[in-house]
Amino acid sequence: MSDMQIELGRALLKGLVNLKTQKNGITLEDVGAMFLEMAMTLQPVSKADREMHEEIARLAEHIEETKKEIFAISTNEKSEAVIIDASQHLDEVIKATEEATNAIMNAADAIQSAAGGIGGEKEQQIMDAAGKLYEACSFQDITGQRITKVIKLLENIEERVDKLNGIFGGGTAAPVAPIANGVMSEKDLLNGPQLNAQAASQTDIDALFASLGGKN
Amino acid sequence: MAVDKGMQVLVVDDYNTMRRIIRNLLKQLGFDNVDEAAHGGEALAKMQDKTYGLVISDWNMEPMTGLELLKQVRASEKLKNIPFIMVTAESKPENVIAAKQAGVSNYIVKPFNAETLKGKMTAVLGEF
Repeated sequence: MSDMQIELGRALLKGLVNLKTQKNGITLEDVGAMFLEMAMTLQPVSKADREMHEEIARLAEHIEETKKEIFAISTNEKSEAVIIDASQHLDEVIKATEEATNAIMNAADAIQSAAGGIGGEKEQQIMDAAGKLYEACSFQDITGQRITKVIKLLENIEERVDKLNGIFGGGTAAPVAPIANGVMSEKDLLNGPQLNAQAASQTDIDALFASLGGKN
Repeated sequence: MAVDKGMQVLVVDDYNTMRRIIRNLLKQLGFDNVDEAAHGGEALAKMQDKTYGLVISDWNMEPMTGLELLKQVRASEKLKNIPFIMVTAESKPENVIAAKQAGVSNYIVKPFNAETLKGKMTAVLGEF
């Protein structure tokens, strides 16, 4: 280890201890400022020291840039409006598909009522076809859940960006709760519909259910 | 024992569309006495007032989920023997395991059709 590396380690440690004592906490912004100060004050003597000096300078620059970008996102009214606008559009999609689905089901009801007196095979065929219209309408439930998932994701992104901005501004973010002892909470089990390529089929579910002692 | 098609069935789902679809499928299968609830809490309140022969419930609902409803039903001396079918888009193995451990009678993954519903109802109630 070179003298510069030892000096750097000591300076870092001292700086962190000072900050902890003075502010009762250390933010990413503090660490960035510390790197910047080191990059400006340390005098490299060897090639390795110079490389480290350059890396520290890059790190400080990167932290500063990231800070500016996050600040720009969270204070840019246009970006915020885009997220709100996207959520509202998705809400409208849910409403529109719900209305269309209800219209289809009303028509299916009318068909079933009208076919009620026909009798015989024809009546059964019409009833079955109207029943299939009903079954197909279950798409609205699935797409509704998927869209709600995306809306929540957008809200989550907005919240995270706000928290990151709080960190750079000196605030603290609430930690994300880990899964305790590998046991999933009931909230962890609420994932909504999976993508078709990943989703288990009814046959997969039946096999699992039977393996757990269930009767299919 | 023959299945009484006149029995009361409770359909629990936060989506009005889905409740209407299940009601229609049940009608096709000959079950006309269908009640609806939009979440677990509402279902539990209805179950205190009326006797149901079958509960068909979604999982993902607020404020009370289908899993919580199932647990409360199984914990109740009065309600614990009611057949309970979970109909949900939650199709991960951990969901099926959690529902089975809570005492679910059968599990249907959305989207589904009348044939699947009939098959699971037969498994739970017997031939009809």
